[in-house]
Amino acid sequence: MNTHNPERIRQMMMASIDGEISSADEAELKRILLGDPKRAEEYEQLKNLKMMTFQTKLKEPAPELWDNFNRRVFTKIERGIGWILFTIGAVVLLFYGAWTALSELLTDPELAWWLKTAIVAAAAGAIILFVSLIRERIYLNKHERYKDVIR
Amino acid sequence: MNSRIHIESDIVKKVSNGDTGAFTDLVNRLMKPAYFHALALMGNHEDAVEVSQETFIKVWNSRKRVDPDRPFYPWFYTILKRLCLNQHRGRSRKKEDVMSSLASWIEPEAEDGNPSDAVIEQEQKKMIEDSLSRLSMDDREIIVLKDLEGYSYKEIAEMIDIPIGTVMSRLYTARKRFKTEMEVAGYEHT
Repeated sequence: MNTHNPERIRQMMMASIDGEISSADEAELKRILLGDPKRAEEYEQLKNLKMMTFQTKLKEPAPELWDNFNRRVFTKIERGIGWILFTIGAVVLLFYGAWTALSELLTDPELAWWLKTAIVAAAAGAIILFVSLIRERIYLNKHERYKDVIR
Repeated sequence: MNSRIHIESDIVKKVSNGDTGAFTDLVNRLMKPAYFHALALMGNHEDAVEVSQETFIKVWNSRKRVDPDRPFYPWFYTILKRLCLNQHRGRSRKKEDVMSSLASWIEPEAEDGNPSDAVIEQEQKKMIEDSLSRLSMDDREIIVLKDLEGYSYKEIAEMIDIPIGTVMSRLYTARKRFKTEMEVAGYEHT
């Protein structure tokens, strides 16, 4: 039975398996494993598995991916800018159109009071929903886990 | 830091100042590590392409926050990993079949051998692939970085911003879980 810190033994096992161990630690690990057959068995199993994973590699994609990679990144950046401008413009136009329509409808003396009330309620509801959505986005942005990661 | 992922501070400075030429250079130099790291985390080609490209877009959009005096890759990797987590969460929400999308993302190192060896190799590859796919993203990440991509402890520690001791401890835990998954898949220790 050894009296070593289990965490240190595990770290030495990994360093030995990965060939990043010092000769002093290697000798110490050898001694520990000689006195602990269960640990020695685990070490051998993990070492064999490491040999297997070491003989594999991540699959190479088709070479065209690298040829088009840069272009696609720039295209996406351009489209992002395009979408932002489009959204801002669309929102402004939408609000202007809604405001004009509401002004005309609400000042129309022919329109029944209950219809005017319904229009005001629908418009107020739409504004509340829009503000709520914006507030939620801002809240999520502020509380995003990695947002403020600065190197 | 490894030359594969080392970016000189003057390039980072130029990118930070909005130099598109420097950004093109940055993309050319990091597209392969970015893609392969995303592949290690996500386990499928489509997501890896999507996430790696999205990472560069985020880098460009947050270029003002970059500190050219500190290593670039850990910051880059943090963004990449966050995007992978978001993508993974999105997929879990949609309850997509994760296993089916993890088909064939690793391959044996090229070797000349006889056909029967090739069959065993393919079976083994499938077993490794399935077992890695069943691991959590963090476990898969550390095994892939060490064993499949061959980074040293020091490089991994710098890359994912953890102490070297933690790299070894995480590797131990991840390999134990990988061993269990391999045994479940039918692997017998000799």
